[in-house]
Amino acid sequence: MRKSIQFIITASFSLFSVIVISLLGLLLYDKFSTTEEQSAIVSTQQIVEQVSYNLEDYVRGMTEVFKVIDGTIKNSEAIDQDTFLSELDTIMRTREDIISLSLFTDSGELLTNHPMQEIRSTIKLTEQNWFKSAVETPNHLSFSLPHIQNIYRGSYRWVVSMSKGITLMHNGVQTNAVLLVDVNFKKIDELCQRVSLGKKGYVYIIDDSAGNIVYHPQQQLIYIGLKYENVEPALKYAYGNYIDDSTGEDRLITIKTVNNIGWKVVGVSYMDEVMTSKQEVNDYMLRVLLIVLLLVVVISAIMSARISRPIKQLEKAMKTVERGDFNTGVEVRGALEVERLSQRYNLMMAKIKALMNQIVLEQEAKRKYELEALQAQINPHFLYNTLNSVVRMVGMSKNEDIIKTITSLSKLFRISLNKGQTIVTVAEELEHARHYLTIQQIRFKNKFNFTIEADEEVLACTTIKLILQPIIENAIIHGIERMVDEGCIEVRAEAVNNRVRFTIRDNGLGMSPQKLAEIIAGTFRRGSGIAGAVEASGAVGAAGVAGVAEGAGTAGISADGKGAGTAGISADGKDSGGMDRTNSTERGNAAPGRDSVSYSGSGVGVHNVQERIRIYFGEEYGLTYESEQEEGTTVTIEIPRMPAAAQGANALNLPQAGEGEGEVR
Amino acid sequence: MRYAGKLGYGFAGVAAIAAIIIVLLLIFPSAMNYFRSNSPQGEDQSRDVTLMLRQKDSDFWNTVQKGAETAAKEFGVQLQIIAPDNDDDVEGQLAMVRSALKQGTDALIVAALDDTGMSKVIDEARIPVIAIDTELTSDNVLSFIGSNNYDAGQKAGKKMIELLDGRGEVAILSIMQDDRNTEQRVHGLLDAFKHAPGIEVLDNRYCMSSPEYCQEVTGVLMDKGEVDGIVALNGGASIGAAREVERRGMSQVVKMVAFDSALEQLELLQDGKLHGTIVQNPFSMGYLGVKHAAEAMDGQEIPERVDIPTKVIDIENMFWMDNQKLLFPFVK
Repeated sequence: MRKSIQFIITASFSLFSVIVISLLGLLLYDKFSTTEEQSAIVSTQQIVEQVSYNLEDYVRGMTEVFKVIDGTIKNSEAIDQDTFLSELDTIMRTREDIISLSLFTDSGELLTNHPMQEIRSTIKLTEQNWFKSAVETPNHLSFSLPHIQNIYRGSYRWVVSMSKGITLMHNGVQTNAVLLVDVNFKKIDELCQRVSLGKKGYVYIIDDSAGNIVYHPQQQLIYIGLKYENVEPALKYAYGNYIDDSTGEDRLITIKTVNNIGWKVVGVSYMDEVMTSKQEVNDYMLRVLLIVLLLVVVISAIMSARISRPIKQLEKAMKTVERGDFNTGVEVRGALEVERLSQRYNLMMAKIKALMNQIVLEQEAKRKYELEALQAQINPHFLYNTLNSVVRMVGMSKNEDIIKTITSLSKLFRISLNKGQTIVTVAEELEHARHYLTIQQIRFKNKFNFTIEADEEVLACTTIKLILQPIIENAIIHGIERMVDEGCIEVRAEAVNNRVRFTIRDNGLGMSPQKLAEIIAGTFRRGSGIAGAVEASGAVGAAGVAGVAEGAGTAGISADGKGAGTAGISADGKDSGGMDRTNSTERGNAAPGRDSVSYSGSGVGVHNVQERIRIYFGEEYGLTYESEQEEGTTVTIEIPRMPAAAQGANALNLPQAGEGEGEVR
Repeated sequence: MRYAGKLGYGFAGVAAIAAIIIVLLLIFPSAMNYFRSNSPQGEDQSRDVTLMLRQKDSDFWNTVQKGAETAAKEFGVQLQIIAPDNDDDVEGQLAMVRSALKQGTDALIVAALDDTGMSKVIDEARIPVIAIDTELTSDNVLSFIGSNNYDAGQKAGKKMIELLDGRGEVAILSIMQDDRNTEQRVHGLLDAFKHAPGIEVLDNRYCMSSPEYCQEVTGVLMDKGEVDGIVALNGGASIGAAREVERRGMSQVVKMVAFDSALEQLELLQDGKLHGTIVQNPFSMGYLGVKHAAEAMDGQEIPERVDIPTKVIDIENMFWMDNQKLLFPFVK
């Protein structure tokens, strides 16, 4: 199914806008996402760094504590001195994250501790990790992993043990000792909880070497195996970030190593949280897209309606023309183009109307002229004269001439009628001319000779019938008849370029320039008496029948004589009324079309031929006259060169020929 | 002309209406989502989960409670914890469950003292019910979370055989008669002893989980004759027995295998007065109970059975990192 303009415009506009907006939105969205991800990464990084600095700070604080204790021990004379104990007490009280302080000799003997707690007898201190690392690297503060402090009787606590190997005076002897400080997770928890990584995000701490979790907000769940933290990839980084999706959610993992203690702070933030505005932008973009789509659809629907409405109106107007009504004009308002279109349409309609009228006129004229030509042929006058000649010849027993005349006459009529066809071949037309000339030659008692020549190639060409005969008739009547010498008529048909040229030359009286001008003027004036043509066609039958019936009667002569008296004589000054060519029918016909041309009936023939050629073949074809007094007249007829094969195509142009057929026959 | 105009605007109108419908259709689901995402938050505040424990003030059940509380916080439910004062108050527990159901709670997690009686009560419940520690036969129970007690009994038996080198007189301190868990543990224990012909079971006494009562019973048993090993099927019993053995100064002689990991038991273990204990994972039990209850309330599928593994702990392995994590609840 073909789509309507409206649909095409609406759809393509919408599609186009959607594509453009989507593309734009996508690009913006992409850019936005990248930027937001970047900023999320940066802010997470900052948070993690913050935690890391805080932890470093904490570690530094602890180092201070150790220094203080170390200093106090060095200053004290004995470790069980009250001043020392009160010092420890002060430290303990100011720091709630410190659970216990203990001092051991490097052989694992307890020197002092605070608060006082009994050490389990079963415990082997020297095998404890914190003890070993303190002994192995003295003067270096070591941090243990979270573990259960099991050396004190009556308590099991999760602590991080900090230990350091120091030297002190014990019983006056310099002794290596281990200072142990156990801290709980309060401070670390506080440091990690203080920062915010969204609702779900959190910070945890792992041990650098083995990836053991030092601190995690869900430490218990992880310890017991209910939760799992994928620390493996985090171990690979000293500093940086990556996206982890091991839990099924995209999480941004940011890592920062804490200096000195070999811990790593790992920040976990959930992408769907840090990218919340991403979702918002997404929604917003979708909404904008929808609204734009809505607007575009509506606007383009209205716009396309506006565009297509006048077109539809035009279509409707054309439909009325289709139904045969050529009188409806179109008044379409709209875009410039459409208005112009409607104007052009109106102009076109006017032109078509005019052309149609012209065609009607031309067809009518064609019919009229054809009838005229036919009438000229079946002219009772001519018949009468010819038959008269035959009678005369019968009297003189010129049998041969009689046969010749009658044969020519019959052939003449046969070709004239030609089954009502308008188009004949050049050969036929020449044949027609020959018969006519033969008859006239006999009638005029060999007052003239004639030759008919034709190029072989033009014989098969087509022409409209009865174009030569009127000219020849003129030549005989005006050129040869009143001549003293023997006349000569040459008829030639030749091909000139794309034309067929007929030349009819006589050596008769010729014409005065004035007369020539008159003929030319008469020839080229267009006759347009439609009513006359119709009248004429109606009269043909009657006249024709009457003419034939009255063939030898006197009534015909008197009537003709009268007619000749009125029109014919004054023009030509002819005395032989019997020979006058004009009859009543022809005159009646001629009256509206040819007002002032008053030469004899010959004018009818010439004009008729000229008009018919023009109507059939166009303005550029037709008759040319050349004449000089006492020298003769040459008439040239030019028609387009059309081979007989084209006759069919030619006939298509002449649908009225068929119609005419019935009437003429 | 009129007709043409109408046609044009008609199409525009149809297009506009279509566009509006499209927009509405697209907005509608997101609006629905908006309401949907809002409603559960409203529900959260009123999502009540009742946790029925076997006993108040016991290390084991305190840890269960801790796990439950952790999960309640994580999954946003209101947790109600109820428990009978003593683990012999079977009727009292049933009554408490009945009243909890009557008062209306959204989910129930129950550790039953009397599995048969409790099953009957639960049959009438119309809310998600999850059994922990003790398996219940009621069809209303969606899930059981607990240890395989038979398996735990066998582990205890094997440990005792190992400690006694396969030869000796063993006394058993059970919890109470007709208790499903006790019976399964005893069953597993005795099955393990079948593989050691040198082990002779002296007696199987029920002393609930009261240390005092169990100390008395231990005294009676030790008076009767020579005891080489004692298997105590719960924490309280082991503490009572250990006290009696220590009182008699026979800690190095009498081997003792217990269940659970109360702080006192761990002290005993570290001090060499308890030679092995079968630990469950009470924290997980509580945590998973609440977690699955919350999930069940959300209409999610939950597993029919969650096995909490048991582990044999002795002085050698008790401070291994893994076991530390299991034995000592992490406190910040």
